[in-house]
Amino acid sequence: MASSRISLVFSCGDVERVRLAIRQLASPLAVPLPRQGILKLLDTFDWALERSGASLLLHEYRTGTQLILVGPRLSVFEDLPIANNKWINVETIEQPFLRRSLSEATHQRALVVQASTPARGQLFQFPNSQGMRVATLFFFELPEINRCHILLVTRRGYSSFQHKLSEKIFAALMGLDIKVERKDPFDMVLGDHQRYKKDYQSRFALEFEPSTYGCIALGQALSSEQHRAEINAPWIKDHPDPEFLHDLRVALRRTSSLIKSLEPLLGSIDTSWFRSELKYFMNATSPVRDLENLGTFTSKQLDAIKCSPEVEALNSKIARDVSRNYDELAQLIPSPRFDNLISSWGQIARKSLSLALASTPSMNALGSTNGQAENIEVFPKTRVIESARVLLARSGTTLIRKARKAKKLKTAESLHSLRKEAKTFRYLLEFYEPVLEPARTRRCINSIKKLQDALGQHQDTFVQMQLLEDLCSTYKIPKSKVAMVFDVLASDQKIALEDYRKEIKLFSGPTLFREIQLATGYRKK
Amino acid sequence: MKVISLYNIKGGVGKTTFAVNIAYETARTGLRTLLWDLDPQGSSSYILRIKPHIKGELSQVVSGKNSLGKSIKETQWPLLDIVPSDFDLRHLSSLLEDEKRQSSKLSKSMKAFGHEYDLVIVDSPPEASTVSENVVNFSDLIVVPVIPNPLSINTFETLLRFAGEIADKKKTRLFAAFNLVDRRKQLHKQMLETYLNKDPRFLKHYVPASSAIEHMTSNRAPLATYSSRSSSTTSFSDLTEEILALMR
Repeated sequence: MASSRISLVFSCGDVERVRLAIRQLASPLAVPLPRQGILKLLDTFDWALERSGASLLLHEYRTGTQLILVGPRLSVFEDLPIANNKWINVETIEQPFLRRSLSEATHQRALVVQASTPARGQLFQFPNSQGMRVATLFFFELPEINRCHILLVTRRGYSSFQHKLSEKIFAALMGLDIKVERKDPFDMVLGDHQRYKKDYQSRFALEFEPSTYGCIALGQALSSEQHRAEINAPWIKDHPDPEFLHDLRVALRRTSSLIKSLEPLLGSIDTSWFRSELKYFMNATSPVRDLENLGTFTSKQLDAIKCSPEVEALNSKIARDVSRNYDELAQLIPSPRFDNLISSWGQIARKSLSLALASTPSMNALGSTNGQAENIEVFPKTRVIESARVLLARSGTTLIRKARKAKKLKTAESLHSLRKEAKTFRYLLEFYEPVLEPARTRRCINSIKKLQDALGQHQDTFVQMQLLEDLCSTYKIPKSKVAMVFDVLASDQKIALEDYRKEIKLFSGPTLFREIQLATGYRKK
Repeated sequence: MKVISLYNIKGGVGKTTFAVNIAYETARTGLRTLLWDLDPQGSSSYILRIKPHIKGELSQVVSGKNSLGKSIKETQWPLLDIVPSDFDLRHLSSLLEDEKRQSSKLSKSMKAFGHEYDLVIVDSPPEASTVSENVVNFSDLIVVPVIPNPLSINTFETLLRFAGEIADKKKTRLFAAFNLVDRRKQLHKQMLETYLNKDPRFLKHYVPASSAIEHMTSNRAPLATYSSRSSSTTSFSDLTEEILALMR
């Protein structure tokens, strides 16, 4: 005997009718409004929760997080403060019962996000004759898989109540002519992305054609980034979770970077207009994101330290400006211009896919390994691993050059430029990951990530300090009144610089070339 | 699994109030808690909004035909489950008398689900019978809620003798805890001065009389869920901490 759950998935055009039907099933307790956000499936890296028959879902929306923990021993539905982290440290959860239950179920290991999908969710609770909330029904709309999901959880010892309620649900859905499947929606999310459950967070399994440079893989990558942009864009409009905007920006950035570094693969396909549009949307979304980051930072400071009333006032002004920026952004995304971008995105992806069927671009187009004009022997139908080596070496050269420059100049601009180059190199490594030596590539990617984190932190604090100065002058707040925020930012910047110095070693010498050559199999150990 | 029982042969001394609130507090601290409502009145079940069984399954449990685990119901508070009251409990004494090894029969029925819980809290009926003998035998600790007056103290002394006579193998520990304390009353004040921190058989924390406790039956929820800042809630929290320290 245990608390039991029923998971139903169905496609439905008229969601409101279903919602109304659920409300009419019994007299549920006060029903909150639907919340728009992201539904995340959390588990340990080796799926310990799933193996013990439990599941932990987080529905992150703009103002908070709903935790849904359902297992054979207990069911917990808790409203938690915003948790945008990629992982949860069980030890930091405040409620002792939850901390203990999770610790036991996970064997005290960290929880990672195994899958996530945009979701608009609502909770219905059904009482027994004594007024106790016996059953809880979660109703989610999942646009990514174009389905609705019902999760019905009933407390231990109420099997007959659950049976009666589920019968009613089935009857109501049948009445609306809806075909229901007993499925876990995350199986569909994971399935749709053609990812393995164990390795969800790794890149897509790209299909590298053995006899060309990787046009099919590039087409697939562009197509998946287009999909990412498409599914995130509609959610930005209604001021949802900032992660929607972040994900859209990641799609824009990745695409821009891939097209720039893999341009030779695209042959005669003209991407100049598309690239300028990508840049336009990146620039348009950047201030919103920067201001939102600053808002998050000042809010944190308000919680952590005793701040002056000026900081509090500034924080509320930032919140108002963020809201106004989102309203302005809603005019742009979605818009005909954005639709055009999405449409040409798809066209370029399709063209890239069809390139593999036509002819292989000339090896000359790949350029040289050291950035200088150099003729490389032309081999029609070159193996993809060779193009990987050439392109990685070229990108690596630029990265090392930028790293040396940054080391010499130590200016925010030079560090930012290095950061951008590191990002391009990482995207390229991740793109070619399926054909490279896995352990070495992963290690290299992780090192770059650490470098990027340090540089990102440095750049964020730099931008935030500038923004803060601008805001102080706009709202006529004396700098001395918000000095403590500047101090924290300056100390964060110092820490970031120290981290950067630790991580840069790999990228300032021939070590990186050695790593690339080993990863691509050009050099043996 | 440890067992704490709330027991007194006097009625209306606050056994149910203690049982529900201590169970809630222990669950809140992360202990998997089962509240066993052995009182046929079913007040604990009522407060936790659980419908009592009408047709008893208890006779089958006592005779070993059915497991007690099947009667367990989850409450709406995490980690707190309950075995709801059963109107057949009024016949429990006679049912037990028909069985062999009658004074340890109930402890056997708990073994089946013992691994699922850290703590079982028993709300016992106000009587001295075979059921009480079972309660004394399977409990690791018995808390006797007493109202601060000489008669209640007298009853507590009687209970101590009763427990000493029937305890099987282990020595069950009995502690009294003052309830419904009104410090404005001279007698209550005197009793507290005499026993608190002086007599080791009395728990150091007591529960004051308050209207918030009376509202438990109308709110149908543990005290801390609707009156988290009242002095009674703090008292139950301290009392639970003291009891758990005694169990260690």
